[in-house]
Amino acid sequence: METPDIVLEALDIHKSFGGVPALDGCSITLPRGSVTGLIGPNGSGKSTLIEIISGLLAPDRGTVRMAGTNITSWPPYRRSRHGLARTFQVSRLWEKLSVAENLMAATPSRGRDDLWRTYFGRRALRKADEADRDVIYQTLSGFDLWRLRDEPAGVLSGGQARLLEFSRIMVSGATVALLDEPLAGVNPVMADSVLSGVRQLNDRGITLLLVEHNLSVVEKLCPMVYGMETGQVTASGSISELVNTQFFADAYIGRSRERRKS
Amino acid sequence: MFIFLITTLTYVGFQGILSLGMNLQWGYAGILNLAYIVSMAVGAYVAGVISLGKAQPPSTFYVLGLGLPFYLGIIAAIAAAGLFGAIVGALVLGRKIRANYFTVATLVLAVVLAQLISQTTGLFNGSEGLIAVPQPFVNAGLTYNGYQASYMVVCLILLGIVYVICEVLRRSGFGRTLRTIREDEIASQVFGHNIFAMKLKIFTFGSALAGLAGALIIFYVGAFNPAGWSVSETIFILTCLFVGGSGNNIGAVIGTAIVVTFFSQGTQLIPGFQNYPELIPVLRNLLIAALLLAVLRWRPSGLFPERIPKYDHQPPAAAKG
Amino acid sequence: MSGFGQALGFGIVSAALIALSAVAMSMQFGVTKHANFAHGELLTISAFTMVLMQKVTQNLFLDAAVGICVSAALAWVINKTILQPFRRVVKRLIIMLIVTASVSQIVQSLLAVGFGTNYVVLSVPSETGRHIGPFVWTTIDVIIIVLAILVVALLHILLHYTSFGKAQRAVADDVDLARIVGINSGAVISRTWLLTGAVAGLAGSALAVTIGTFSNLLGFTFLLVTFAAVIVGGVGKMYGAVVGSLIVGIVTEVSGYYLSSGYKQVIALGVLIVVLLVRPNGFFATFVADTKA
Repeated sequence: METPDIVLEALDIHKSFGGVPALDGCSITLPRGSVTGLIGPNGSGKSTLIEIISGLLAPDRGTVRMAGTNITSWPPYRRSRHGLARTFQVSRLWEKLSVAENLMAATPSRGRDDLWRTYFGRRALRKADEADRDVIYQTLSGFDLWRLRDEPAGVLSGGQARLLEFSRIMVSGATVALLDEPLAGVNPVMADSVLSGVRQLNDRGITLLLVEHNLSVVEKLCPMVYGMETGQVTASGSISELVNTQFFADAYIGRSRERRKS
Repeated sequence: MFIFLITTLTYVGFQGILSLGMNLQWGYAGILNLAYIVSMAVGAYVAGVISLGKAQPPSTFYVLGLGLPFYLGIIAAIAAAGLFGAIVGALVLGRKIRANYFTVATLVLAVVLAQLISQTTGLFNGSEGLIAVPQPFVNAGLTYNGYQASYMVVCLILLGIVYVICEVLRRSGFGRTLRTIREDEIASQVFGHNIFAMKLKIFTFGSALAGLAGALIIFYVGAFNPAGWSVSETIFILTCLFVGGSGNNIGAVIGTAIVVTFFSQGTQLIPGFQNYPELIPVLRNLLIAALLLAVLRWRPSGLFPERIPKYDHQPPAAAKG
Repeated sequence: MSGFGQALGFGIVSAALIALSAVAMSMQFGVTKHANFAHGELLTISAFTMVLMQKVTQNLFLDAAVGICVSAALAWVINKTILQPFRRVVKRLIIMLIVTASVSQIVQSLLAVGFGTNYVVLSVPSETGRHIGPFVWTTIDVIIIVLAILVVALLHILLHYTSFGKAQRAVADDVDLARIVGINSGAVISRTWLLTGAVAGLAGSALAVTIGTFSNLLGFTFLLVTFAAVIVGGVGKMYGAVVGSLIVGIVTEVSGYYLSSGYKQVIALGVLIVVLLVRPNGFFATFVADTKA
């Protein structure tokens, strides 16, 4: 049997805060093009894992690999240039930048972060801007945000903010994206368009890791799910497989209390 | 009155450059650097010791004393201040220091460096400071008023050039990335921006501009000492910036013009008190700080708030019909 | 060696002075989450009150008591009239730094209007130091050391065994969570400022008595060593602030024994920079909790 093409893997990740372990030998793998769910009670270490994969926290031990490259010690910006993107539980938009600028700043830099070229290579930079225009237009109109292009991102509703975060991922050229509770802070009316946004990301070939509490959402989107408890992956499979496991009983039916505060 | 106007406009010239440099750091990148004024001092001192002749102990002590022409002094001032900014930036930016700590560290640095320079006589003549710095073209045969007016024009032209430089930056992708750092630096990193490098560049750039202003000041006044770069001067620059509108270059310049005219130069017109000559500068500091508080409270985005650039792209679909 | 012992003795006194100021700042910083650049002025106001009070009574303890009250009142008033309204409208905490820097400038200027920018003198009975072990301390030095220990002990009891202390620690940990469990965070912050002002006032009085001659910049100059101690110790950790004070106090005084005393503050900065480079959030910080700026 052929092993699936792995885009991202985190192996045996350990991380503790002030002596209290948050991740205790946690491993996950994401096959190319998949939507993988990550579920578990509060404080089970899901967020810590996301922070470590995106490079905002350094693990005490363990390896993060992207398409075979060991990226464990890379800073976040380097991971991004390698094709990793993410959203946050509470949307992190650049609020005083316009919606369009939020996308322009998320496209690959192509020399625009270079002070020298800002003054002495302006023609090339203008070309870079031109090259981004079509994809920005298409992405924004695809999410019905084009009419808001000149509004500051701070005025968007929770759902619109989510869609703008997805748009940023699309224009960034990412191949893998981590979505940390994409429905948090989203008005139920907007939930469907956010979910279809998740599907659109995947349709573009972006591999997704989805952290979500709502199991019916996870069931709809993710054929493969990891269940986390106290810093370890204790179950994996489809939701229907997980329903009958001890993990599910512990985490969702409430035989055990939350073992650690978040 | 003529000379008051000339002096005021000259001050607007260099204070405007200072405000624009700080706007790069605070207005764009959101870095609150209370050691900013030290970059100005570095520029002033370096310009001074480059253009002054050899020190004459026992009356004066300072390093270098090269006696070179003023333009070399200005170039050296810009370079030295930029280098200073880069060193400070490399030390305190980018590490996982919270913004709060960072600002505290810069304040401590500013005060301690002022003390160090005052204590160390051999460097820039201690607390006496540099004096009798030769003014450029002072023997070119101009009248006093003519000289003052010419100096003013030079300062205002340089202010204009610096304004254009800053405005090009604001409209560029570089400026946009800086504003993402100000708004949310975590998101900025996650979308591929090396924020440490960006901050370091703008820190260096802003400091270099402050160095230019410092050189202009020392050549204008002919003297410079540690009293000229206390923490209250940083507050002064911040006030100019907030009155005008941080993040907006034209706001920075107009804010500077207003604050310099009414609060700095204006207070000099108040008749002095015979037995209490320091009262005027004290009142000036009081007014400036109160003005800063008032602006922050009731008009935090200033007279000219930052504008969001319009996205000038006609979609292909809209073009068709 | 006796010279070194003497310097060490001075270092301990200086550490006690810094500790008084630093525990006050550390507590306030921990609760409000922003540095207070006007902290030094709380010390200054107490010292100047003592100078004024000397016209009424020569009893230094009474003078200091009034100084402490004035300083506590000032801290409370600044919070009520300036900081609290700002905290409601300001989104970025860093703006609060500019606000407190302005307040510092205003108080300094007002003092200069009232007293001039020259030195004022607090008359303190002169006494020679006595040998206590390897150290040479005056009675005042001993009182200050004892006071510092007492204040730290009292604060420990206050923070760990009273309902106010528990509420304060809850607010310091997480304001929103504290609000959810029904703690009136505004009142807690208000009282924290009162307490901070009182302890800082005590530090100011002690400092005034120790040096005797000072200007309106007294506290501002002392602010730097306080910051150094607080950051070395890790913000919001009282014992961290005490250890930070010991490090900063002893290092500056002992190095002052070898170097010109004018470089003391430079040494304090050196300590601070080394610590910021090695442990950006202080020696006693366990991990970087916030990824926000």
